[in-house]
Amino acid sequence: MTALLESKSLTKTFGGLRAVSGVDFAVQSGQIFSVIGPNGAGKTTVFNCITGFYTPDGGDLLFEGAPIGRLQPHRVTERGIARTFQSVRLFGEMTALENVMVGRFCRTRCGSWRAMMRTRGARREDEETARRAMEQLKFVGLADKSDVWARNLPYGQQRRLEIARALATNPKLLLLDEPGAGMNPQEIAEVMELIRAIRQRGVTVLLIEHHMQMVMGISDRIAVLDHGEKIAEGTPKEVCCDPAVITAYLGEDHVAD
Amino acid sequence: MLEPLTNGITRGAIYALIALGYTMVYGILGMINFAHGEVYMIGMFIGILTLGVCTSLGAMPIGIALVLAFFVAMFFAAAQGYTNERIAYRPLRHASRLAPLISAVGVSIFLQNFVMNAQSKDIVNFPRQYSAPLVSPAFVIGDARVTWLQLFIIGLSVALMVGLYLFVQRTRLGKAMRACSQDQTMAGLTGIPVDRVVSATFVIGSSLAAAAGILFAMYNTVGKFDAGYVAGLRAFTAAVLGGIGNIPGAVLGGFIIGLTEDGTVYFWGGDWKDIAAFAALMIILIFRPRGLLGERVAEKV
Amino acid sequence: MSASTATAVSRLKSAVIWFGWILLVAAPLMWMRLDYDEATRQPVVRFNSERLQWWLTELPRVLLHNGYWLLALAGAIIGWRLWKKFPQHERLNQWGDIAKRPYLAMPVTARVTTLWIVAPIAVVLLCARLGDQQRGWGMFVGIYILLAMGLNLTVGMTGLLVLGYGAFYGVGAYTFGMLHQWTGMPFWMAFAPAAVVGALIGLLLGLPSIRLRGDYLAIVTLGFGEVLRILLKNFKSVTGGDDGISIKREAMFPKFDAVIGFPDGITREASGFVIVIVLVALSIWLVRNLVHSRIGRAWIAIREDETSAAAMGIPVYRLKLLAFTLSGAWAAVAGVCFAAHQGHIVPDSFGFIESVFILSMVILGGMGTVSGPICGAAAFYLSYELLRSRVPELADYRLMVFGALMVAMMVFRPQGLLGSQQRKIEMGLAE
Repeated sequence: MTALLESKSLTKTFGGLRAVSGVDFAVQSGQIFSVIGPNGAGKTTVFNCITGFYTPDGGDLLFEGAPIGRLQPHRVTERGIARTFQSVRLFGEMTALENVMVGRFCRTRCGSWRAMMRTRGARREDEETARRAMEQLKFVGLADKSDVWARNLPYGQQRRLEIARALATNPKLLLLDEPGAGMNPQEIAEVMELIRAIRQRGVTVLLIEHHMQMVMGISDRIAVLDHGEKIAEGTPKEVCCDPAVITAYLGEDHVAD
Repeated sequence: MLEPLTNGITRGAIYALIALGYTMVYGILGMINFAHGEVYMIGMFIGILTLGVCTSLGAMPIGIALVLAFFVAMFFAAAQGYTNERIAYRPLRHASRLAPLISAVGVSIFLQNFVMNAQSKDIVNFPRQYSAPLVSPAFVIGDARVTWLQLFIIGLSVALMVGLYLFVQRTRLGKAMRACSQDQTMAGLTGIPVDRVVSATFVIGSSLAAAAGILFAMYNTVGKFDAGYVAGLRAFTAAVLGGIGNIPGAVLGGFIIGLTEDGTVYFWGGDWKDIAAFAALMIILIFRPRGLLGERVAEKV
Repeated sequence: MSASTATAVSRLKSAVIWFGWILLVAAPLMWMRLDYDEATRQPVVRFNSERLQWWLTELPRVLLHNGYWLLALAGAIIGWRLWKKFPQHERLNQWGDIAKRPYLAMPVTARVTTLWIVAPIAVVLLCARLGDQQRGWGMFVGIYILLAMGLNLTVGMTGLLVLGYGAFYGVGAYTFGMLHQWTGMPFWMAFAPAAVVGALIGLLLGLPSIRLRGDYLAIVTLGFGEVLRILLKNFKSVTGGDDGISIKREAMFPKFDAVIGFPDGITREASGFVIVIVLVALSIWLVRNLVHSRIGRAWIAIREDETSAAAMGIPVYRLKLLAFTLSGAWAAVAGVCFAAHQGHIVPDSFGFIESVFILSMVILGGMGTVSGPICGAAAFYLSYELLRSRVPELADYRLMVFGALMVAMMVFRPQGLLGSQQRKIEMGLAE
């Protein structure tokens, strides 16, 4: 069975630094796949390579069997990969609904001419966009905040808005970069529920996260990176007992524990 | 054929002095000091005024008058540059890139029109008696006559540039300036008074521009209130060409632009002088924005 | 003394100190004059006693004589404070529950509604009551509204700083001028070709420069503006060089001697005013549609966070090019109107200062909104013209005031007259 996303010997260097080196993994459709590792391990670099912000220096990235390594970011999104960012990057000067409506851009077609003339087709498409955006907001639980400025939302809601916006692009694969960052346990539980619901909708999830509770709780499979290399991969149970992983996180002395 | 060469080097030296101001401010604040050209022009005017005062005061040896003119002009230009920074740029230190640029444009327009109203709409003559003795030719290379004035300009400019280089490399303030241009936040955290360093940068850059202004007035024999706009753009081109933020780059760029300008006039006539400068600027920015000696800056996602 | 009074006092103190310092720094240039001594044939420096005299006698007289300006200013400030009572973005309608309202109306705010009421009244007044000079002003306000709206597409909505916009203005005027020279074309036939040429040139400029970082893009556009102006000057055979192109009367805005309902005839200013107002109305409709469409949202997204926008599937490069193209077309149309009114165009009308004017209108009015550029263009042009005509003694100082205003605007109110507190935060200045 072809994996949805496959990384083969992915390598990315910056000057003298090998940020990512020979990383292999495969994400199957319908999985929740987590990538973990200490800070600086290269996780976000992998995300950036997948989403087209960096061009890999070596190796292959295949999405549904087709290479995506050299695509521009918006093309990657068109193919069906969406992402959120480590620090919340919303469009502050727009309402929550408008933010999500932006996500529908690549799935709509009305051009500038029809937009200026406000043709029937354009209006219908806009209504459809607003309707679908509203659906996404309802899905993440922000339906009542649709007219609030994105900048004014509390942090947890901003993160959920980012997810709604990414979902609006109709992705097959959703990349979440530290969705649980800065959240209290209650919020973490809610995010975990949300991610499960996303998987329920048929979207595969690739996740970078530091909260072990979240990672262990929802992942089907985990890959561990350290210093740009993959040092372990497997189910949560396998990974948490892997000595290499323990060394990477806690240092050598803890292996015996 | 050598005439444009010698003229170009002279002109280039002047542009290099102005370019240093642009490049230092960009290096330390990341902003384009649009009003720097006007500071150059103000230095020019004050220099001329000082020489006029010397004339009015009666017989004064040319050397002393010139020295006085340089000092007074550099002082006032430095004060002007300092004021510009405090009033128009410092409040915008943490704003977007847009804001200081627009503010600088405003300062530029204000100063240009201030001088136009305060002094004259027309050209202003440099008092010839102070440059006359220097205009005689020093020696001849090929078909080019190199005058003492040209040697003086090149000599003084190079002296100032070397002085700046030594200052930046050897003194404490210079080191602080380099630190601030690399990482302002960290520099502040290590106890460097960033505000004062920024002010010093403006003061030094403005003084150099003022010197350039007087030298240009001596060379060109006239000055006008819009001289800053024209020369400023050329010098900015020079700074970008050399790699903005890079001090040796500004010097290199200045000479190249000076040579280009005189070369263009020689081969194609004066009409095309301005276009050559702008076209050069655009081409550099489009194809090699980091300039000849600049470093590439990548953005972290 | 309360805290706010204390800060006010300290602010006043520092303002006074700075004022004194500025006077000192400016002193030599202000108080010394270069004179030419006939006897010694040398320039000498004298104390500028004429200026002192002017300051002591003329200036107070001019200020007192035009004292009603201070009243007008006070009135304007009060009006502005009242205007600010309408919150910028509080909507009179809500997206709300889409199921209940299948037809999506565009957001309507209280401010925009007021503008929609005030503007037509002003237009009718101008047409019916006031004189020709006022109609001429109104026409120019209209032209500048077109320009400001066009520039707003790149600077305001997409966040691309363009410093050479005057060149596109000139492109439109000269397209009309040159076509007229070759074919005798009247103004109304020139709108379409001018728009196309403007769009093409916008596209050409955008192609290489859009990849550049903000301030570099600004400089490239500035260079482009100047290069174009110099080219217009140098190719004398085609463009008439410094002398420019003249347009025959038949091709300009029409003048009627006696028409039904208008026994005194219709002047060129009046017809020009009506034509420009029609164009402005059309432009407002088009821009509004654009702003509230998928394209407009994408532009704002690019302005807010380009990386994020790209990640959401927005083809950033293409949309930036679109902004350049459209804004070029807008300026070109305005250029045709200018030529059709003036009858004679020269390259120097479309230089850097013009570009800076238009940019200030966009910023002053508030970037990225539909009503912002309208307000900015009107406020700016009217104050500029009124100052020139009503207080001619101070006419030379207009540009100085303008420069100082630009600085003041950025330091104190970067979000413009109609901008929101949000925007001020975004410009990075609110604490």
